[in-house]
Amino acid sequence: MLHDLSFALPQLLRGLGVTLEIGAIVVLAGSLAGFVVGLALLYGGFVVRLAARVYVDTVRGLPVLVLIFAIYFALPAFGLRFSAFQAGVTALSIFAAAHIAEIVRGGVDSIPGAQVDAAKAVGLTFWQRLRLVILPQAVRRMVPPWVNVAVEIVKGSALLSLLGIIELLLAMQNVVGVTFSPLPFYGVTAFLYFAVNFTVSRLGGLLEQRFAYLKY
Amino acid sequence: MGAYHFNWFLAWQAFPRFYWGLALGLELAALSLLIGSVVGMAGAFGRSFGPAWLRLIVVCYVEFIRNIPLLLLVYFAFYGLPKLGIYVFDNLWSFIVALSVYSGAYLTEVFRAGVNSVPVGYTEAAKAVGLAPWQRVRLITLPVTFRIILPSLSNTFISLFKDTALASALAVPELTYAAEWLNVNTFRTIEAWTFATVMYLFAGYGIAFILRRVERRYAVIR
Amino acid sequence: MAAILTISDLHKRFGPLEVLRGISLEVQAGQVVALVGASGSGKTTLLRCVNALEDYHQGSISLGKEQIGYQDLNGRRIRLPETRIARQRAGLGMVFQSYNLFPHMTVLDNVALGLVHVQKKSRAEADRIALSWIERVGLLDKVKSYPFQLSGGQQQRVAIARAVAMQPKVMLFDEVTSALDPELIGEVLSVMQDLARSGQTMLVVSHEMIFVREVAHRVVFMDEGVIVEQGPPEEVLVRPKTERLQAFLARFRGVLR
Repeated sequence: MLHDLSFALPQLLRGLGVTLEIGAIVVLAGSLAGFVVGLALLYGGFVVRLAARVYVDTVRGLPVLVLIFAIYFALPAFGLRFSAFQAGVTALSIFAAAHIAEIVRGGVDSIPGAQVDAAKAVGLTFWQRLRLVILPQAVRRMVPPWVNVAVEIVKGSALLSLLGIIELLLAMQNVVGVTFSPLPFYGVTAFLYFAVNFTVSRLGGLLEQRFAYLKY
Repeated sequence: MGAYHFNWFLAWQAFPRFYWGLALGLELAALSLLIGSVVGMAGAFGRSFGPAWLRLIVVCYVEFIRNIPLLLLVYFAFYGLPKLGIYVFDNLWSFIVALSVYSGAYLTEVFRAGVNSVPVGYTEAAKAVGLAPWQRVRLITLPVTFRIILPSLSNTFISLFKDTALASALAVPELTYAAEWLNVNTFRTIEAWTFATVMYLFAGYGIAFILRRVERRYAVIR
Repeated sequence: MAAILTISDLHKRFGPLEVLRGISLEVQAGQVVALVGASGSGKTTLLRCVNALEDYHQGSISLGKEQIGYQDLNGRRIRLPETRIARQRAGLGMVFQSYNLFPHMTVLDNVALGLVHVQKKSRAEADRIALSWIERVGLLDKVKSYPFQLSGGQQQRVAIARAVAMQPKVMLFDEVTSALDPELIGEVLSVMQDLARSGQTMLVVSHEMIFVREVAHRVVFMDEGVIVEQGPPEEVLVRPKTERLQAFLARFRGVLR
């Protein structure tokens, strides 16, 4: 068993590295895109808002797996050449962006209108209001659900194993396929996922505390 | 390839497979919600009213399950349990077990929040009337909790329905598997995944609509 | 003497309900005009129309020579772009009933915000001006505090400093003491009195009749969207001419004598 472990652990850790890489890329891309779409939902013209709404409601109404498969299989039919990794990361980013857009919308909507009035009364323009008054306050409310999305992304990265991407789950399956006592590896893998997500949640908690002086 | 001539005849032919896949997905979700609710209620009460060791077990269970991928649980149920000597489950029941354990963790939190938000006045009135603890729970706490958490339960059901897509990894013939089948056997990728998308959206939002009507009738307690 | 604020035949609707039915009002520079009336009379709505927080379908409001919020183009009235309106608002200071201090900024930052981002002053200059006004309202020791650390009265005084630091032509006060505990009202009213004495033009919606009588140069009584009576406080508050005003003042009988 010890021999198994010494050969298996590097593979698992390499898989973990891929998982973390996927997570980082998707959280970054998804947050940026989600932020833009969120603003579109809040402040866009009728057509823009409608398009954003359709996008967000469609993606949120689908299982992640369907989104992943749809992008992986269907996109080549439009002539786009993707690697499995690119397709998977793109699909997860689209998923993340839709959820984050909704979070941004909810966070800004929850700022009392009176704050907007006060900012207007001081003479701030729209972008100044957004930058100086609304977003600093909204961000605090967005942190918990945003951290949840990050955790879901890490869990969602496991689905990319079905595209053949050797992240942690597939690495585990490969290892299990070779050894004859798979159970410890289920345990180790579960622990690794738990460790990553638990850490992410804790960091999110610290981030939230940083904004705690906002007594709203 | 599939883009230019959208094969409507294919839609007609494949429809039964998709339809029954959707039905199976809903059944899986409902069953897991049911079993998960039993687990969730037990967990909620254990966490709120049980001894310290029980509280610890529940907390560990909830935190652990919520932080690991469902797919890992599914594989463990199907491939791992036999190694522990539990040979009972075929692919369908392996998935149900996995999804029930998964939903149980979330439902524990849902029920716990519900129990905690029962207005104190109700329980005090129940005590004043002279109801024994078990009676209070049965006649007051649980019914009120249920009404409070109805929206959360609805949302959980819809989430579970989306999670049933993972059953395709065990070749359970639900909706996603139907799309995969169509994909692999006809290479009509656009049609396959469009049908799947449309059906998931239709089912998901349709159920949400119906559940919201039900909620309006039952959920408000004040 | 030219009026500094001119409201002309203002009409405003909320859906089917007409809230302002032809309001015309002039405020001279250095005057304190008090708007009184029952809730629903339209006085807060009128105030909010002045700095274009509300829109209206008929009438005009001008600060000096400039029309606020709208312009007449070939006989059609169109709303100005938001960036123009933002600049116009710099000439009008507003203090709200619920203070509305920005909770994520210190007292100093709250007051300096407009100076830096709207009036484009340097940070150092803005801080200097802000500090002088914070001192003027008596809160120099709270400069680095956050709003949640202050009492209601203190927050409202900061709100006043925030508005007046921009040196607006007209200050708008919307029932600024209504949300305060009684013992905190006094400190806010004395700040307002101080401002009035220094010549600030003020348009004040208030229920504080003693303050109105002491400080206002003119009292305007509104009821159901119209101005019913107006004049110096000694006349309007002591010798009301109309029945509606008499009825309104009846509830302040003990206070006003």
